[in-house]
Amino acid sequence: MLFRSLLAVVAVVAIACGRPQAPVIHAAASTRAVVEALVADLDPRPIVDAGSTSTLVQQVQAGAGGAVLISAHPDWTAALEASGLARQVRPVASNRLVLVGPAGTHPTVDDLDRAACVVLGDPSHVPVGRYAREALTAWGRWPAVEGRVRPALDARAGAAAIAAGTCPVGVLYATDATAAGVSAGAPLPDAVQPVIRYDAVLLDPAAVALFDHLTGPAARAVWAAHGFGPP
Amino acid sequence: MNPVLLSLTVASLATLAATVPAVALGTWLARRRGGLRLAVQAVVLAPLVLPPVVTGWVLLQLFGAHGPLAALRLPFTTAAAVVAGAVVGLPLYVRAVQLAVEAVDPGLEQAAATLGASPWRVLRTVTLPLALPGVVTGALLAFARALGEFGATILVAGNLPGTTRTLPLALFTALQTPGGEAEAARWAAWSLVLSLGALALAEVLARAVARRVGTA
Repeated sequence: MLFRSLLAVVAVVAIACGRPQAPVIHAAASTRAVVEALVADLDPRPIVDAGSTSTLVQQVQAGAGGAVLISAHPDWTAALEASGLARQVRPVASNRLVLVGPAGTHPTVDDLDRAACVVLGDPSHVPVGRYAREALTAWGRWPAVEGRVRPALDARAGAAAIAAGTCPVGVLYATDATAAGVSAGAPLPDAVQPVIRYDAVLLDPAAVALFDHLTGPAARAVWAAHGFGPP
Repeated sequence: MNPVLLSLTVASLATLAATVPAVALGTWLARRRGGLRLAVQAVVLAPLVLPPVVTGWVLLQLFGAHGPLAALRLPFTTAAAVVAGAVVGLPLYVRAVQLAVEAVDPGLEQAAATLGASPWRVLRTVTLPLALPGVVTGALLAFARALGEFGATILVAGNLPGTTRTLPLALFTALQTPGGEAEAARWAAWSLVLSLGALALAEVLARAVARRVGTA
């Protein structure tokens, strides 16, 4: 019967696609573009699963598997190590915080103080939000900003919210200030810049070649070309 | 698989997976009275009234790395998206079957039994054929619900491109990406196409079934 054979085909396709056929890289949202550039020529081409480090780590802890995770915050790297899922950890890049605004603007600290709302990563768990809270606290501005925060799910979502005009100003990574529809404003002063460290975490011992590919000397140049600092 | 094809596959498999339990539970609930029935009904209908995120969380507790069913290695696979879709679609499916079975004239079933038919044969040849329009309606509702499923899916299946990123998740992801508005609009348009297609198919099926039941 046609109907039954159709069902059989659908079932086979679904079972074949149940787990990804290529290695999965769980990448902090801010590193999506650089990781995609690094794996573009690999065969099989790894699947890049981009999201906030907090979400990705929780999924890996719940059994999501995967080859490598790029963590944007040492606390989340430590969480993976504590649960015994990190086979190897290698610092891979650094970043800086800047004020950002919709395309064509150049937000300054006055805009930050006056804006009706401020886009941050969700400071309760998203790395870019935790770094921003740390920096704004050191700068003495957190109490004044706290009530105006529009939390985003990850760094890219924060850039999307700025591009959509949700708020006139946000505090995001320098590397996300180049996204479509986003303009970089003043950088945060050196004195309040937190140490932002990205770690590559090997999850699957069989994926060590991919791990080396993402973190090796050739990869460093690609990270730098995307605006990231050395680890 | 692209999100459109993946959504169609996941919703179809979820509907299929829900069919046997939905028909069994719907028939049982229609014929049974008392405390046990109320308890079963409450459990079956729970995903209809619970926020989907709660359903997803419960599934993750059951199937997750430290859950009692961890050995199945279900989370973050296409199968997990199917399970999520089936669980949230089941209450609508069961309810439609239950109402249809309740509407079947008990006199016809008694007549069949008097003529020597076993309860299983009565169910197979009298009750279910007469309740078929309800089963078709239930299948459509479950399919539509699975097609739109978001909250439970993102928790238990994640958002992996090609594997678990269904249409609603693709739309959501596009909206969270700078410059993703055009892509979001494309996924919204595809959702409309799939939903209208499902409605049209259900209409055709319902007419075919009504003709069959009418001449039976």
